Amino acid sequence: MLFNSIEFLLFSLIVLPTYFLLPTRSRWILLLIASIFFYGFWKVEYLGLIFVSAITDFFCARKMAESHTKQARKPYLWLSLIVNLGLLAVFKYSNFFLDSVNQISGGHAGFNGLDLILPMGISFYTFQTLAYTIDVYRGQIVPEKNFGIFSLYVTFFPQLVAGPIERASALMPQLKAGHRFSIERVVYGFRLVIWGLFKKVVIADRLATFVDPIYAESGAYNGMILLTATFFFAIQIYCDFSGYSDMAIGLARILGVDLMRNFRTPYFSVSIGDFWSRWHISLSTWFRDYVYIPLGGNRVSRFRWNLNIFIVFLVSGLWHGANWTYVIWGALHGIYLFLENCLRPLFSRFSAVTILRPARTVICFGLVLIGWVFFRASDVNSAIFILNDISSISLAELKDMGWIFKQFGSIELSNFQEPVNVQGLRLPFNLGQFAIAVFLSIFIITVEQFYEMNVLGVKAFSIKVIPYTICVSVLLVTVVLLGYFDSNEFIYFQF
Amino acid sequence: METLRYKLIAMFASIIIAIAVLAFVSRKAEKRARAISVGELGKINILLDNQIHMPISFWGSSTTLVHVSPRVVDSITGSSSFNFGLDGTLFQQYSGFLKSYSEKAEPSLIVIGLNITDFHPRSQIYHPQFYTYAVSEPNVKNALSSIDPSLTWKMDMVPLYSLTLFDAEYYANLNNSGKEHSFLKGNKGYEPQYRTGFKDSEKFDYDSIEIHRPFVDDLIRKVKEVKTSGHRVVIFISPMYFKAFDHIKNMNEFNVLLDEIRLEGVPIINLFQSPLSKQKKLFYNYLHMNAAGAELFSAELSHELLPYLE
Repeated sequence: MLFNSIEFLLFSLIVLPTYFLLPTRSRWILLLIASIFFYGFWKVEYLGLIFVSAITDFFCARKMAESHTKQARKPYLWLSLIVNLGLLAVFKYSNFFLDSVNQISGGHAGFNGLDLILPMGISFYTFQTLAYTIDVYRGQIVPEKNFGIFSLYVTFFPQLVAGPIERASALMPQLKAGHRFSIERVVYGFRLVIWGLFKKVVIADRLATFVDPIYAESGAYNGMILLTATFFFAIQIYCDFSGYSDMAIGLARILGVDLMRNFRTPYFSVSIGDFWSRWHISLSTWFRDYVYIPLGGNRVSRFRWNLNIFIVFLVSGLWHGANWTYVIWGALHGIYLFLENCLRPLFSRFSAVTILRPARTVICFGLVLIGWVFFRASDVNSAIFILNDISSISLAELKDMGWIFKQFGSIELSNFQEPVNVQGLRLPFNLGQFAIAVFLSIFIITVEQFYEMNVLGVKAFSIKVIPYTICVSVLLVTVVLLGYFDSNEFIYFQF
Repeated sequence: METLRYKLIAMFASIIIAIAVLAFVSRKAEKRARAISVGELGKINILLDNQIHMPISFWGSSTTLVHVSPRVVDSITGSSSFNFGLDGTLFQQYSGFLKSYSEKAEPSLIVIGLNITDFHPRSQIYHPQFYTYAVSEPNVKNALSSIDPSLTWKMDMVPLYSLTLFDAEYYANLNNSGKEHSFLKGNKGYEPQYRTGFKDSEKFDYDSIEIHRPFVDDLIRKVKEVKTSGHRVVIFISPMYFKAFDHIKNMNEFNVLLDEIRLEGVPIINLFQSPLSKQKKLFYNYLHMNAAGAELFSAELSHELLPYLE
């Protein structure tokens, strides 16, 4: 079930009021039933896998609790790792592995791909359940005795398919606690849900209509158009994913559950390290706690430290998708961080200079854009081709883009559908669509940064009755009138 | 925010204001859309309002829309005709309109245009935003339901749902509508295309013809229903640029299918490989003829139709 569907609206209209009508102690049962229904709505078959994962981790954690030494707990940790990562490997990576072997052997290996469907959100719930068993193994949490509560921790519908990836220590006590109906939480949560929906259906899905055709035939477009498409993709993936997170956090808040923040205006980062502390925070912290620190973190030699970072990003790339493009994307970010660490001593004296902050933000955004080319391209060759074209943007191409921007001043409804032609090439969008896309991209980045920095006290102002009413009504109307509801899933569902 | 009570009021007020604004926009949009007499929406309005009944009517997708000129047909046959072709639709999608038309119109000649794409399985309604007002018509609803039952249900039953289907271009269409000529004065439903020339290397999307059996059965059943209302029905197959045949692996299956339909008592005029199909200058892509091609094709088709008019 998609958050941006009528089905989900009906689902929410039934589940949310019923939740507060039930006695506090039995609310978790409703949430569990609702979560199972939510996930099974896509494909009932998916439920089998998620419960294999849940049963294994519940059993392993219980067994670990009965063991008094780490040594005795270890076999159960391994069992959990093997089952969870095994399922992930089979369903997500087996075809990638077979394809790669075929390619390396020049087709001699002749492996046929397996006819498997990728279960929705498998990477998210696998990491969430793994975090639980690892925490139990480390003795950081006491294992849950109630399988129902544990199943709800694994399947909690607001964050099941695309995070935030929650830790058992943060989520499980909240699921068990009885929440009183709170107007404040409902009002705030509702606003967050609408804001997330706006980012998803009005901005992300709109930008997808530019990005998809251009990336599908990247060879047909010049560097400037490819750069524009990549910029739009950067905004698209941010709005798509952070929009989902906002909706998840908002829904959970209405139910009385606080989920962790997943994004913090990442495109205003001043370094790649800073970017990863603002982008998909729940995944970054997961990798920090369960991969980076066990590898030794930064308490090792300088070489090993950089290697640890590189390994983490390589794995992170692979987590995002079973394709070499994701691996390269992850490796690229690993290299960025390595270079950042090497150059830090040289530039440390400038890091505090405020005036250089915008330049650092632009450079960081540029580096992130290069990464997004690999992330979005269908294969490595296409990505290299696109980057090559972008790196050779000519003055004429810049002028053409300038010409398109000049046309914005003359847009009326009558020429809204005017096709955009550049150097005799008809672009897959019209002038009006392009103007709206540019406006929305700038709007979203600016508004969120203003809110983050609390410019002119905007945070306090936005929760006053009249501004709240105006903003939420405008957002609701915009979502319905300008939203794209025919596009399908959230980008991160595939991970 | 001042008090908890005000917070709740603010939330509900924003929902009520939004619904009121959306209801207003929906009403305005519907009023404008229903007044349109050009383009795809205009054609649907004509069908819904039961405005035009002609001795000859042409039905089909884009290949009918851009290939059949009623002016040429009228001049050769001496009858009046109208082109009800709707871009992007399969028989399955427009068959609801055809059924309603056949129930209301005087006995006439109904000419259905098919092409190789008509029997491809499809699970999405093409341009559903144009059907939001038509979905309350039972025949149209049944036809659309057979493609996407969930969307059809939502279009019909969920208030304001149609607004989620409209995009900026749709609103721009509503705004521009008054600037064009109406169907009744213009090309009688025909939309000539003045583009010429395409590369042989241009991608052709169909390397094989997928024949979805339920579509074939549906076509035969619905044609029989139309015939029971006293209409004569003829199917025609539009020409395709001949090099397209190089791409299609299972052309023979399509020919077998046409024979099967003939055996059900539905005459078929197969102009697939008409001499016109060899002339590249008459096409703007593999499947579609330009205005010059359409003029010649309409004449050829009209002559073929003469025996059915006697």
